Amino acid sequence: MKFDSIIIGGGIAGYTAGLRCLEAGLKTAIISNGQSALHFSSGSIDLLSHTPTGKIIRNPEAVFEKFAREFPDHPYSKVGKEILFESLDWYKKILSSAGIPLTHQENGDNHFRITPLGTLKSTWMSQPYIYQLPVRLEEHKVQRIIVVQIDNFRDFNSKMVTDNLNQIPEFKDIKIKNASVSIDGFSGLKRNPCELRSIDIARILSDEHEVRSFADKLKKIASPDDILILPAVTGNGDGLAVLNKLHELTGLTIHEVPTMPPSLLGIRLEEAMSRLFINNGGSLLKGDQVTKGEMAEEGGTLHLKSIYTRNFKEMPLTAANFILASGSFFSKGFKAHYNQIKEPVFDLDLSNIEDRKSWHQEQFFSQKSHPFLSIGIKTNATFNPMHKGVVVNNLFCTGSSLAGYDPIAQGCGSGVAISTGYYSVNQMLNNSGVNR
Amino acid sequence: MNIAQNSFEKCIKCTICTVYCPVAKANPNYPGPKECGPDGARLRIKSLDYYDQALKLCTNCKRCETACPSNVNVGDIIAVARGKFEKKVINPKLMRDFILSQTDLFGTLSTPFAPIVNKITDSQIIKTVMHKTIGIDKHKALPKYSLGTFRNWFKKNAPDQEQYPRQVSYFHGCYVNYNDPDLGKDLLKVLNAMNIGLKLLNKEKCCGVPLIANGFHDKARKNARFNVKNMTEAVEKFNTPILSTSSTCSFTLKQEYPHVLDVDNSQVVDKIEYITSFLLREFMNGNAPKLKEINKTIVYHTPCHLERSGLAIFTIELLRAIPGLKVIVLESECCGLAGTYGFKKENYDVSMKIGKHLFETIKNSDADYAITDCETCKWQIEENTHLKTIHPINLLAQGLTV
Repeated sequence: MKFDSIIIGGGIAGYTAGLRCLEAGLKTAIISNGQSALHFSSGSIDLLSHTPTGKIIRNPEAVFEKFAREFPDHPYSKVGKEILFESLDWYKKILSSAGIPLTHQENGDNHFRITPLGTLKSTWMSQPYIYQLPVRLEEHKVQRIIVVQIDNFRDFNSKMVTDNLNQIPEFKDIKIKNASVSIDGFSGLKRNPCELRSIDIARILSDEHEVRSFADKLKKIASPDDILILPAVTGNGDGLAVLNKLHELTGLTIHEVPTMPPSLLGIRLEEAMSRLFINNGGSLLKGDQVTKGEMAEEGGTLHLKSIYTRNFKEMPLTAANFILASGSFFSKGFKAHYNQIKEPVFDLDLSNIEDRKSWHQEQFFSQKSHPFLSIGIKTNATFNPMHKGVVVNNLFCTGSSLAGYDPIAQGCGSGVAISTGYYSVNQMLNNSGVNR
Repeated sequence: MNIAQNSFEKCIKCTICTVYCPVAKANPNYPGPKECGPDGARLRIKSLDYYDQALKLCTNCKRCETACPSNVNVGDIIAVARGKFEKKVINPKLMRDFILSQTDLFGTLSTPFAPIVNKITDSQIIKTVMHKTIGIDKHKALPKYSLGTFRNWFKKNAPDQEQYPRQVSYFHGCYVNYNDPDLGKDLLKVLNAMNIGLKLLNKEKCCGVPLIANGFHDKARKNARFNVKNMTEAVEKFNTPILSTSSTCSFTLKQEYPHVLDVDNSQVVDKIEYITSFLLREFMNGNAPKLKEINKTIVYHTPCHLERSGLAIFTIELLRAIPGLKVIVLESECCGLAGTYGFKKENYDVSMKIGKHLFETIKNSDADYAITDCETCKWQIEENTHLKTIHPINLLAQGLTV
């Protein structure tokens, strides 16, 4: 079966590339092996919170040139400032058109969001019900924080959130307290409500009466000047509809915080992108896995001719260009063996670390980066990978399959995914050596 | 190899499967595929007391497996557990489950008297009686039988078919044989227009999917062995591919036999093919029939089992190859009927809730037809949207120039 472009992986990088390909009028397929890691994500777009040396970044745009000079191997340095911000603008526009408006600080600063543990994390662009705290935290205008505990819900602990927020020095003068709220629908259930996950609650809250009753209870525990911290338990296929309704009914400032998986904030992004991809005519091969590729030599480089999958064992899938957006370990983009890490489909060259002992820090919650997180596929300036040292000219690597950055310590996972997905499609369109 | 026996070890407890479970979406009392599947499997090894009657609520749609990022066969684990541990209680519902799943038996009995049988099952009084006694929901229309089977019709045509230089074998399934022989006749026309002749297997029985869904695994296993034997004979004798026009039959023959019933089909599995995948390959190799323009708009609904087989793309591409046709691909979601599930009184409301979004989308679509590969999706869509719903083969046959 023949396409103009085939994308391996249906996460944020894969969908970015897929939607861009469709915009360019290309016949495009995405192959995705199960739902993506967005189901565990904050649903915010991290751009850059720290340098690889651990320095805090307030405004990524302001320091970009210096950053690119200092860290030339970072994917951002290859993408360049102009394309990076163009891609984020584009992503913002696309998601808004799909019903998920994203906003960032007008001056381009990062902002803090509150995590499920009650700590603060720096990010750049967020969904509407994330209260954006300033990175210069002393400038915050918060008066009181109310943390909602949903009765019997085990995947969000308001007491822990409250205790941790109370330890933040800039919050020492404000009142932070937790309050519990029950959900009517729990009482009629045949199951023990403790078994319910965030998605189950979202389904109960998709009922109009439940939302009204829940809103009444929220109004009793908070007032409009408060920040109301609510675990993310709404939005089951209807994006922000329930939150908009809650906001309208209560007039409260809601700050949504992701729960233990599944994360409805992330699901919302994936649902919006996937729906758009299908509506725009893309082919989504769900629940399939690429097993191997066939490459040919072409003037000193390699050319990926076709790939095979679990469902396409006999019939090859061919395309002029391919994009690898298969993610990291969780998404099976990499496989860790005892002494080395491998890319399982094409056996592409990785930036492995020889000494097994130095893959990770002693402490799991170390402030320093775990080196294995920066292991990834080695690429040239246009993100083409290599197989045994030879460049593959029509395969482009994106997102967390790339080497040279740590999405967690540097707070840049989604920014890298979006910008490299976007940039790779630009390269693909410029790829004159390949007939389209 | 029985994958379901150990694949729960790969589950990382992420609960993504539950997000995509149509039953969990509609019924908060269903614990969802993670709890019923991999979580439960671990407990059931310890003691059968942990077997939960809620497993009965699973529709076997396998959307959990399509969604799973860790390749766990969640649906298979549930189906295997039901086959092993579900206790049959003698009551009127058991009789209903028997009636709904014995498609061969009731098909054979009904087709000679189809007009009468159809009238009876369609009458409001009978519907009410069935609702109150055995629990077939009164809102449902039982599938109509055809007067005479496809197999009988085919006998007269068999000699002609042998004249074609290439042959394929056809597993027609119960639906084509007892309910809709026209689909089989349309397939014959399409293949003949491509200079290919049709053969039937020497004998075939119901693929077994309604038996699996209703917990009659021993009977399903007997059918599976019977079908594998007949398919093997056909492959050995004629070396033909074995095609099916039902997305669920082909899924069952290929995947449920080894995964759920533990029946070895390895000698024929690569020969079994869902029809659109065979046809698209022929089209791409230059053997497309001459088609006239069909200036119509269709909405395409992806059946769950075709989604799990990864073959929806073939149907979609095939439809896109029909000149003049405007193809709108609907969001892939379960229609709610799930074979025999939605016919049952206790499941009717959930079934309708699952399908609600799909019905509304179709009603608002202004399409001339809905197209789907699955017979039970067809019933559900027609009953709840009043849009004529046909198989891709029916549409191709409409487009033939001869």
